[in-house]
Amino acid sequence: MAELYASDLENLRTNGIMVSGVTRPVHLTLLGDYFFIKSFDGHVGSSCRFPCGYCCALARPSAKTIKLIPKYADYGTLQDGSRAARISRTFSEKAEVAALYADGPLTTRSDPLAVTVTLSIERRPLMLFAPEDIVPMPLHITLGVSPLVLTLGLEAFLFDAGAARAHKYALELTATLRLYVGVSSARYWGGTFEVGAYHKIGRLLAAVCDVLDRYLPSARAAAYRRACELWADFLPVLNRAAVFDAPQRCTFRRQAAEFVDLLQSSFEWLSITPKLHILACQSADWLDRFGSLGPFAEQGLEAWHGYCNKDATVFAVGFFLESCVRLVQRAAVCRGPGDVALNRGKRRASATPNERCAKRAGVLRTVGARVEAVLDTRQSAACAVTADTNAEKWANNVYLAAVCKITTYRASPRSALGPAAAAEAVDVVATAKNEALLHRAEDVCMEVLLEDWHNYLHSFLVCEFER
Amino acid sequence: MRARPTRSALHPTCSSAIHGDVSTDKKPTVHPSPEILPFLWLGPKAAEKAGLSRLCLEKVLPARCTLAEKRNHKAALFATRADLAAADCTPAADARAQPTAPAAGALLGRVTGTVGHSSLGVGADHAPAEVAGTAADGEPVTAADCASAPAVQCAPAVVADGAPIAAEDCAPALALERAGVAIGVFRPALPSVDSVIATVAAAYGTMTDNQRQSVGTILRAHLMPEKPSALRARAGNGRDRLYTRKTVPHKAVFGRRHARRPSLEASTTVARLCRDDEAAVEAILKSVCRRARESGILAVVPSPAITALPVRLQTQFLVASSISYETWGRIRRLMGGSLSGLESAPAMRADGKAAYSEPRNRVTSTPVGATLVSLQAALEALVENLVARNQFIERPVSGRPAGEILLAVGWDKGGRQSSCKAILACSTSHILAAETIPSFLVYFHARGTTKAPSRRWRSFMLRT
Repeated sequence: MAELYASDLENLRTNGIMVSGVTRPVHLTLLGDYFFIKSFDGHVGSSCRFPCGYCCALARPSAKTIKLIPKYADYGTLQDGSRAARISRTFSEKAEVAALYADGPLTTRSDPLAVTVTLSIERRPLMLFAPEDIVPMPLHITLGVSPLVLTLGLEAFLFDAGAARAHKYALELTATLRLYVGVSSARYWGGTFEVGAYHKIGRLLAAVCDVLDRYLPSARAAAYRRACELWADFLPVLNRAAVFDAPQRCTFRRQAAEFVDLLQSSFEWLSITPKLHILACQSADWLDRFGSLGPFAEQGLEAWHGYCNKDATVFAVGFFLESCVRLVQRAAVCRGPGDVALNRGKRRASATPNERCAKRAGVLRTVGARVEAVLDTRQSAACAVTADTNAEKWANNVYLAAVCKITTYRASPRSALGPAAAAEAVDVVATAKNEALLHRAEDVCMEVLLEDWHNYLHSFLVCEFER
Repeated sequence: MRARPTRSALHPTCSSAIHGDVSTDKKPTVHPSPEILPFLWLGPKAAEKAGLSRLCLEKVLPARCTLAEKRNHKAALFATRADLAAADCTPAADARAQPTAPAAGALLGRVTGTVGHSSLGVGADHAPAEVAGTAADGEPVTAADCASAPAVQCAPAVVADGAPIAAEDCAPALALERAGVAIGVFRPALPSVDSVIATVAAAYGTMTDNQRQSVGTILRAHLMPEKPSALRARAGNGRDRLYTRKTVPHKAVFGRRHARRPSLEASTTVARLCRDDEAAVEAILKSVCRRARESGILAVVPSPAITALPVRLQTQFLVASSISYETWGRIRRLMGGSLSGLESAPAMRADGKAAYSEPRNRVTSTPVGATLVSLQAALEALVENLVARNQFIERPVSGRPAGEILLAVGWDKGGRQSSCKAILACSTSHILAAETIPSFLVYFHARGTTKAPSRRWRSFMLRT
């Protein structure tokens, strides 16, 4: 689909546009999520050997990879943390790979090319973009790393203290998020939080650390607190649409690298994902060049979905394609939902970070303070029940995912304990499942007993009445 | 200040002297009691009525009766207090006050207190011959009618908040103006709160502090039943409070009599606002209101700002707000039609067609989705627009040529009806838009190109 515009975009990039009688050059950049960037670039994706679109860092090298790439150490791996980007991709390399596809897919070639030549580009790129012209997806880094930071404490607890009290910790973490952070998971987001909630969580991660401190007073808890502090510090730089000065950019570079290195060194079961790698190695470069990351986030792009949903009745016609035409026409004429010429209403003034947040613990605007003060939480009974259910499901899901992750790690060769730990982890999982089954059986038995008792009472009363 | 109301065509209004003090227009149904007769009729008429039995008396409005009883009660109350205050005065003061200030209950005239409004010509700030001002029935009263007018002239005035003003500091007329109270008409043989005030005021020079405070209390109590438009009071903690009457309609439609006070207030306000060209503004407002009344529409004053709106901007507003041409026509009719400055629906429809057929806005469709015909034209129009609105900030980027326009190509899937959107964003560059939300311009839809969720994501969704 994106191929439709590829020629037009190439034409724009080559010839520029005329503005007030002057031809101006056009600098095209690629914006979007990881999937789109990889698709546009002809890249395979995160599961290939060279998962990064900016550099030639390898994924975790398997035996087959080592066999294929004997000098794999030269490339480095994502697991090297902030030292991973040793060899950058270049525009000329990509152009060479793209030229290989001029005659058709590589699978038709009699002599397949080595992976070190194609660098995991296995389709013809729609357009060639230099690696430095690809936006390091700040929104999706936020969406990807924030849940990782949240569940990391639970994984640490599972790893160090076992699964006995981990579920209780998960429930308490959920309660903390609801009461002291003021966010609740929404089912339509797949049981996780939306991006605004992650900003809120980022500001109040100290409350999450306090919960972990009560359960796990150890060096790992201190490392977790430090990681949370770093994340909370540079999260605004990652998302605010402001121009940052040189000292702030240097601080961001240092903090992002320290964050990823700290995760790598303190939480051994954690794998560095491509998003973490981009955060540590690529986003600071973009920030240095353009002074900001926030304007390049995909929030404005996502706003178009809301525009379509809002005006769905206006675009409703007999055929879907016709409604698309109507939508594009209207979008072209009215220029977009944020056009200032059409929006002169009162706008929310920009504020300094954390200005509108509660500064004290007892502020009655917060849910936690209202609960402690035995005040109404401004939530209906039905909403409270739904929020409770969602929170419990979120806690269960997070708990089970953490158990699986730790189990997988213990069973893997990376773990120092090896098969014994794997067996123990399997036992833990089995125990957890058995406990869940027992609880379920107990509930069913109680329901049956109650129903039986009710039937008995009913028949007894009927008999007495007939007498 | 308050004129006698016109008589109703349905019910005869009562003929009491205080008819103008209450605002109802009902049928007189109540026979007044003998003790309130002096408050209802003046002079010989009151004496004539006093000789009749209660059922033989002329019926008056219930509201009149209530007000008269209220005044009678206040008069009795403060007559008692005034007696007590007079008993505290020295004999010399009594001797001085006696010729001009008779004792409470034996005074000749009833004082009709009217709220001061100098612009309406109440006589408080006029010459001594005109000090008496106007009577309640609107007839001018001369100084000869007022037995105690010299006493009033010479008496030091007292402000409504109880703070005394010395006689030597200011002229009586000025003092009365400050007090906001004009002493109006003195009539013989009518006991009144006002006579008590006059008595106390005459003896003011010999009063103790407590007595001086009581003057303010008496005056304030007098003002209460008279419904002044402003009342100033000083609380025990020293706070100075000014109470003003505001007329607030409780009904959407009210009669001419009820509309009198708001219309007076409005005319005063408008006169104050439009000092230079009051007549022109009045003519415009009259014309607009007449047209609005005749056609049942909103009254909108034609504004140069609305008239100056270009048609294309109105079209963009219409499209951006998802307003149909039919609705637009109704809005325009409601706002006064052609006089509102808005374009008509046919004109907007024609402009919309023209806008859609411009090269930058032309759209074509393929089996995959809808696309713009000319990407370059659209982009040039967008950048021209941003430049015209002065929303470009030039920021040099190292390693890039100057004057370059930074564009971002984006693609995303989502929405209630899942679809993909390709967007070209002129968000930031060496040319940085002032808006943080990028101005998107290109966009197309396609069906069936949905992205499968990742494995971890999908597992969460299945469990939830």
